Amino acid sequence: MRRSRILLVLALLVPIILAAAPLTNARLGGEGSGIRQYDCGSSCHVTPSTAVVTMSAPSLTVEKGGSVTVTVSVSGGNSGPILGVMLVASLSPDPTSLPSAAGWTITADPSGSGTNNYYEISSYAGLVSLQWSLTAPLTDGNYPLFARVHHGGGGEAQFANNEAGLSFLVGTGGISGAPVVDIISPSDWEYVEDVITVSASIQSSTPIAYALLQIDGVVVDNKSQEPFQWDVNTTEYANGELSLNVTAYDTNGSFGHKEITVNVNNPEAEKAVLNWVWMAVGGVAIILGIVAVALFMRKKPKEEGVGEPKLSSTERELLAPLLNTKLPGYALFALSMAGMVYFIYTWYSLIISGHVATGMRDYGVPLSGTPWGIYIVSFIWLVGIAHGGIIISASIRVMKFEKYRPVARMAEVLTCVMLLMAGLTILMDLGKPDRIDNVLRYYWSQIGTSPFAWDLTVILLYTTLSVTYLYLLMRDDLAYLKDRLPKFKWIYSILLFGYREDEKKKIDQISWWIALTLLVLVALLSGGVIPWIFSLIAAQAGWFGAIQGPYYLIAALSSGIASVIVIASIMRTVFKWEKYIKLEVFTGLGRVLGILVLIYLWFVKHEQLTMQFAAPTVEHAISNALLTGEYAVFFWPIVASLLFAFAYLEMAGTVFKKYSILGTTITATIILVAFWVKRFLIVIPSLRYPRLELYPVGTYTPTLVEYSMVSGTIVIAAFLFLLFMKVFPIMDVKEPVTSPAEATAGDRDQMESDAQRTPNP
Amino acid sequence: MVQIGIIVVFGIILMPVFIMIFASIFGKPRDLRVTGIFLGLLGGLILLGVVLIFLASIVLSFLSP
Repeated sequence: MRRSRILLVLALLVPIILAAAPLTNARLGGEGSGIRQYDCGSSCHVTPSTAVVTMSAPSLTVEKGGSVTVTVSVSGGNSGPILGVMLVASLSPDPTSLPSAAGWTITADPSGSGTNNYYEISSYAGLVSLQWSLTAPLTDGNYPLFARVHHGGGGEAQFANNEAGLSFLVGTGGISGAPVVDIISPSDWEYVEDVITVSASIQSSTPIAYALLQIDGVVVDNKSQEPFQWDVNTTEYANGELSLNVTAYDTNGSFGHKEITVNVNNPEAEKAVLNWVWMAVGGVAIILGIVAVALFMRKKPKEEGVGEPKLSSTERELLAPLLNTKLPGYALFALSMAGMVYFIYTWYSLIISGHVATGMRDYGVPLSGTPWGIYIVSFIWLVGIAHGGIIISASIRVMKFEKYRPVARMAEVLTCVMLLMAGLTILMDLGKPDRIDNVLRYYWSQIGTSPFAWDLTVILLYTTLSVTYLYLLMRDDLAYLKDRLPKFKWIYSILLFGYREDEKKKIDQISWWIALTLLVLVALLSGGVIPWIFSLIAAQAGWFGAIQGPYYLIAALSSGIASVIVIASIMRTVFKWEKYIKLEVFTGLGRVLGILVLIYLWFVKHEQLTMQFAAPTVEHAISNALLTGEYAVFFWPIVASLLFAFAYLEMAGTVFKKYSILGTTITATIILVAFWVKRFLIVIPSLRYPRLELYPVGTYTPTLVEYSMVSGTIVIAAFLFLLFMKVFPIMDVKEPVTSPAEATAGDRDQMESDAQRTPNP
Repeated sequence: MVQIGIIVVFGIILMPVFIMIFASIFGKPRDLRVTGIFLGLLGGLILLGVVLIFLASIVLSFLSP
């Protein structure tokens, strides 16, 4: 009885288990995933389906042995849960339809772990996308791949094909024996940390010219001989997937490559702590230094001797930056110092990583970049300001423009600081800055033919003359202030070596000659150092031509005057120097600036007309890029802002009833920004469109590192300027241009109205 | 034949510098002590620039990998 009950239960359970089996078993179609030819050995479904099968791949061109990813998407059709998707090399019902028969190697099927060309899923709900990774055949030719699907488990079993397939062009167009690259270590999808060694084997019948290692699409190194191994510090990359690509070029120009992906898995906390500790220590050191300096500076005046010469009220006003630095001044000083530390840190990181951290790349294949970027843009801008500054100062001294004398020293300091920053920018731009001494080692062999060697000569000459000029004109003031400012006495005494009271006439004579020399030099240099590099290079489209000299000179003068206006305006407001830096300084400089800006636009019009009319193709392409292409969004706003600047500056004193120094300062700032962007449009488009048509159009996108470095030079310039102002008089003290009593009635009225408008700093 | 750079740099660009030096020595009022300070400063600053370039090269070579 009991046995018959057990048999009864079993008789009931067996059919239930058998019925439930298809719902839980992975081999739903009775076959499961596997290697199948097109017709499944005559066992495939034969009823057509309404399913839509599409295929896609990132590229249909692939090197021999290169990696290919094929995505097959299926939608609609039989809504049953079972779906088999097949990747085949042909639509023939025989073994030649297998991908392997055509030379393909499946390295991963949609499961990620298998290498099957037929893959089955049990949860099809009307839409699915599956991906295969394959290695291309090793011989040149066209190699198609097709997708085929089979439905089951729902209604009637059906099939659908992607008849068009994907046709891959494998190889380099008929050159046989292209290098075959394999990355031996690390393995694909391996988890890595710290420093790893990327090791590649390259097989080629022709000698290898060089092999490139690319990490996430960026070339980090190249080697021309074995071993093809690279040490990669993975801590320099974010955790997660990282693609490694080795591309080998043989001496015939044929190439092959292999790409793998690794998972970077470095301990996050350790990296963060190292950076933050470094930054925190630097920050604390800066704050402590500032506090110490501030305390030192503030205590000293109380210890001044009683019997020493006193400063007059005018002198005290003119020496306000030295005597009365307030908290905002120290804060600005601290901020610029912090920026300087950040700049040093960024530059150190850049030296360690190399220029791969920037957006700059070499011309032509395979990198298709631009070898210069915003460093050179900034260099031109800085040199322009420096040239403009020294022209203003020299003109004031040589042509006796007395009313502008209060801003002469500001222009001189600006020149010296900007020239130093221009030199620093060039150093930043060098891939191996430690080889800077080569410009001196090979100076005499290069000076005959290299405009770069001429540049070194001139920059050094400019800097030397500018510093000498600034210093000589300051000697009289330093001697006068030596006993009046005891806390700076030791610095002034050192700088006043060989001083005698009767030297002033000779100093004035020498200074006049230096000023004249600087003015003549600017004219002889075709408007600055830069046109030497740009206008003389016939091979470079967009640069070559005699217009560059005066074109750059006008830009330099405009930038210089705009900078002086901005600085003078800030000083006037902060230190309440309305009676020294008079209104007429701004009206005069503003009008000259307006005219210069208009002349610059006139040059722009001539340049673009020449490039548009019957210029060589590449010149035309560059002009099109500016006028109607990708750079039009920068070009036309620059033109508009310069036109606005001209209109405002020329109308400010006539049409508008009241002259606004703030308005002039804002306009000058707009001009400075516009000229920086205009320099970008001079440098980058010409480098992106090489004259040699052999080279493709390049790409360039500045990175955060580049923006940080360029901003850093501005911050350092600000720091040096502030430091100068803290130690030396920024205006003539012994012989100020105007005493309060000499201020005109108009100035007094203006001062009053300015005082009403301007909040106390 | 003299290369163009030699003519440009030493024949044209430095010409006003040579005239300036000549004027500082012989121009009135004459004061060779001040002229000496000026020329010494000029030469010293050029030398400083050259030394700084070599110094920068040495320092950066320690930092470069």
